[in-house]
Amino acid sequence: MLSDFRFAFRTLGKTPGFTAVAVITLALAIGINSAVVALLNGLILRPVVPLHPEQVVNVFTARQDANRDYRQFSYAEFEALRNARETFTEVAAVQYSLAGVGRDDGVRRSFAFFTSDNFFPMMGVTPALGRFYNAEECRPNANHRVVVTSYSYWQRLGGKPDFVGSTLRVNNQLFTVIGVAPENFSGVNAIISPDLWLPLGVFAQFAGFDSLAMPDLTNPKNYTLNLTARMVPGLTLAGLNARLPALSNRLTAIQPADATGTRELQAQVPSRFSISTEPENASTGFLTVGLFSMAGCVLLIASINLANMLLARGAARSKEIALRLALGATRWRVIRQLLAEGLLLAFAGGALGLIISVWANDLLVQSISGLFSSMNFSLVIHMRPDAVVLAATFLFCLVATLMFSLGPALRSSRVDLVHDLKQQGGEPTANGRLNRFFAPRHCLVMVQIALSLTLLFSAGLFLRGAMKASGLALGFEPAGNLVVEMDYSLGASKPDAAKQSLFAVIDRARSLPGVQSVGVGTLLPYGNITNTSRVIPANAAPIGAKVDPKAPTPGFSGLFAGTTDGYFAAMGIPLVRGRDFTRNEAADKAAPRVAIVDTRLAQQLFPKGDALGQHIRFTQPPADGSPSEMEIVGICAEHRHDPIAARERGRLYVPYAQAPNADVFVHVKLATQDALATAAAVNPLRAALRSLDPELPVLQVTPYTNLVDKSIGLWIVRIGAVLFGVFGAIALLLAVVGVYGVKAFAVARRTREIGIRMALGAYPADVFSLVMKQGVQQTALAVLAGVVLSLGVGRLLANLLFEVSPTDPFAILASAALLTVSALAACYIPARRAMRISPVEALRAE
Amino acid sequence: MSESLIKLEGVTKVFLTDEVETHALSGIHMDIKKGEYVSIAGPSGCGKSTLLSILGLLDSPTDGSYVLNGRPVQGLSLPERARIRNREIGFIFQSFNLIGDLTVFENVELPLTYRGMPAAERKAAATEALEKVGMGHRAKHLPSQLSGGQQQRVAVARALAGKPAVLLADEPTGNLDSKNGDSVMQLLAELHKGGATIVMVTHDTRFARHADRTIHIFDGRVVQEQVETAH
Repeated sequence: MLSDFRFAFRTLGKTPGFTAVAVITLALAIGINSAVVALLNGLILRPVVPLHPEQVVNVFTARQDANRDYRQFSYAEFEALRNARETFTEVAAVQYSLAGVGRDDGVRRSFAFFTSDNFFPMMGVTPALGRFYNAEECRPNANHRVVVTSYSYWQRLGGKPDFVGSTLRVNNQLFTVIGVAPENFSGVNAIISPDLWLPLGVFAQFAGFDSLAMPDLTNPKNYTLNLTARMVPGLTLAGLNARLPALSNRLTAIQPADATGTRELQAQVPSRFSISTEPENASTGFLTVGLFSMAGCVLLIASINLANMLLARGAARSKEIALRLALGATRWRVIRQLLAEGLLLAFAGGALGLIISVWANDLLVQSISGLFSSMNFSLVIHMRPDAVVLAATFLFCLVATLMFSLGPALRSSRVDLVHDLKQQGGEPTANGRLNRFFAPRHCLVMVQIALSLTLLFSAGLFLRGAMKASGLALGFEPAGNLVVEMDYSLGASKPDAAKQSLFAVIDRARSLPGVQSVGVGTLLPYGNITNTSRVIPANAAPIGAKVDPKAPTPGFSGLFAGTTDGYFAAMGIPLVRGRDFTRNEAADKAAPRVAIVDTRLAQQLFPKGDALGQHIRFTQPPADGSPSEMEIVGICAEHRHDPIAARERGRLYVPYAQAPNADVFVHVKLATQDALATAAAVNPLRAALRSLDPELPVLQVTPYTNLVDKSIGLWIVRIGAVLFGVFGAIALLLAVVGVYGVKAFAVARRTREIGIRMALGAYPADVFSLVMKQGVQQTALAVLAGVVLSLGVGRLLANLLFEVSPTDPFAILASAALLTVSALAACYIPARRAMRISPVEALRAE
Repeated sequence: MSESLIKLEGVTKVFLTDEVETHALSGIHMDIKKGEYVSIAGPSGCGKSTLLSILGLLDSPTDGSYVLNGRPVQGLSLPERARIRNREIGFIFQSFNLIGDLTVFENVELPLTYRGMPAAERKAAATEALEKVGMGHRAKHLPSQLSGGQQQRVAVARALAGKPAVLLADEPTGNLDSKNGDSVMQLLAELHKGGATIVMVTHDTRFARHADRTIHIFDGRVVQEQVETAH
């Protein structure tokens, strides 16, 4: 066997051109497959929960009605479930927040998770340094200022061994670092990790700014905790579901007397991608199958290329093979020799492919990091080659070897000894034109073209989607709009002081030259964060009075934001009726309660009448007891919040004073829409704000167009286009190489025939058309098959497409045209070469 | 028999391989009349096939002049040479050189398609040529279904179909047994009797005697011309 590899090494070394093309072809295909495995391994396959992940579930509570609206759990509910030892060995509480973190000079906003003391033991992790917090530190309102940091955060701060015991300034208060979480630990999420883990006991200190969030966890109406549980050993999800109604009854029994609606518990395997308060229905199966199908397609195309090259090589080596057989080698011995060459090529391609996969995944991680850079998450996605990736790459090498090498080896070893030992090169025994047209190598290249077209078409669909997403009518005007994001929770400001500061910022910005209007919103369209609220007409029946518990909850959900006067003008959102909020309404919580809705919500709430002047109320009254009812004083035009939302929701705006938020977006609308002029205005605006108050908690001052461009929705659509584009481009490249190789080989094999034709008087143009004609016919047949295949694949991709028909004629035509032109260009060179064949040389080849 | 069809004057052919010059032909003078049957004889490697390639416009002389049918042809462009090969010259090769994917009929009509001849005329000409060589009944067969002698007859029909000014035969019996060889030589003799001009390369003196005249070549030079007295 070793001698086979030695000989294979020598043989391949003698044909460096062939070897290089083969290795590069395989490297691209195996590399992309390894990259997909590494990606899926990091996202889907690798267990996130270190200890018995199959026992861990997220628990949700839904209202028992048709709307199934979800809320989080109260501390009392958490404790009740924690005591259900017959079902759960542990139930842990988690809440997510942003915190201003600063050590020494710098302050940055970081993602922070509040958890109960049993969270880390339940997950089965031990600290990398120090300790995790204890039960006393997690007792509601205990207010022990201790913090556990993520491993990556510790590393970012220098990774000093004396880190434990030092202090961090979190929301302007000093916290003692008691431990460091293990490397890559992210709770139940596969992608992002908080920088800080905080005990539930300090939750109250972070919940004070927002009037809609209650700081006191002991308040039975403070539904703010997400629950993750570990089932008792042996209990399955189905078994757990059978026990949940009884647990639901326990929770119902401890609700406050005025609680409305009964609720039911639900459990689900934790989502690897989301920290939603609702169960996620997103399945990763389609993503896995889709990515593997595309990557597998590329591997198949590359293998077809290699098979064709080896068929040609086998034909050229038929005399050598015949000689080996004549000298007594068995057929298996010859096949083994040829397989050794294939395996050597595959391993060389696999090694280079691994480098390509690491490079490709680094690019992807960089892209995701860039996306999340403004959102202060730490990425924990692990896409480096590990044992799984290496094993998969090895498997791909074996599969590729079998696909591209076995067939040609079997064929090459089936020789006519007498004929092949005599043969001096030249055309093979003829089998007729049809057989030549459908010769295995031509069939393979036609399959290759059809598959490549399918990948190109898929890329075209996603590219069209990306173009449409970029060109959507937003309903607001980001050009000339500078966004100042500030988070008052990062400083020492109390809500009233923050509000005063905010209005001072608005007034200062309005006074700047070139500024048209200024307004503040607590929700940023295309800003990756969503906040909704549900409202009903004020005169609707009380929800608790419903007779049928399964009837839908009255009212409609709308995207919810607090805004100041000037917001709509600054955003470029037309007010179609009524008016904007006044400064008094925006600043004074005691001012009459008013609201602005968009035309969609207005139509939903009052389908038969005029919404302007009508009164509405929240279905869930404000937690701080403030009035729920408000008058609609304005109706604005609809505008998008998310580029890929299948169905946009209505919008509800209330004055900022009624829904204050620490994190605010100040929109400064300039007189210009020019991108350069807008960018040039960033520094003067920043300087003006600094001169107003050097301590302002400004997170960013950015042209709104940049933020729109960085939205996650757009990124998803674009990354789809990039991924499919890469697959399509590689497939196209391989198809061109494949067509060229087959045509060049065909011309070489037909040299003598071409010589005969020239001797008989064929013009150079006749020879050219002889070669091209077959290329055109085969390309046409393959493209036709590819179009049919593409239309089928388009239907499978339909759910992933953004406002593009799965039979999009432009994508079909463009991909078919691109592939046809490329394939014919690949035929052109061998055809031109055929024209220059010397008939004397060609006939001498006999 | 007095009109000159092929006239070579001082034709030389030099092949350059790396730094080695090989003189395949040196100062060949040759005059072949219309209707003449000439054989070119000589040992292997003497240059007779090179001479035939030059006569058939498959190759160009390094020096000297070549007048075919009254027209100098040594400096023509590739398409013009193709046109003359197609209309003035018929080739018969040692290994037949039929195209395996084409039927007998298609092989015979192939040179006519390059001439742009209408299909009906092509059919008539190809059928006539096949009948002339006694292969009309095999028109729909593939070459691989024929014996060597039959294949060579088809090759002759293909050469004849376009009614060329000259038939160039390169060792036409080289791949045939003696019986089939004799049969092909008989066929060429009949064609010659019908008025065809034939130039045949052979190293077999038996077959050279079928010609009116034999030109002997050695080391790229004409060393002897011999008029055959009896066929």
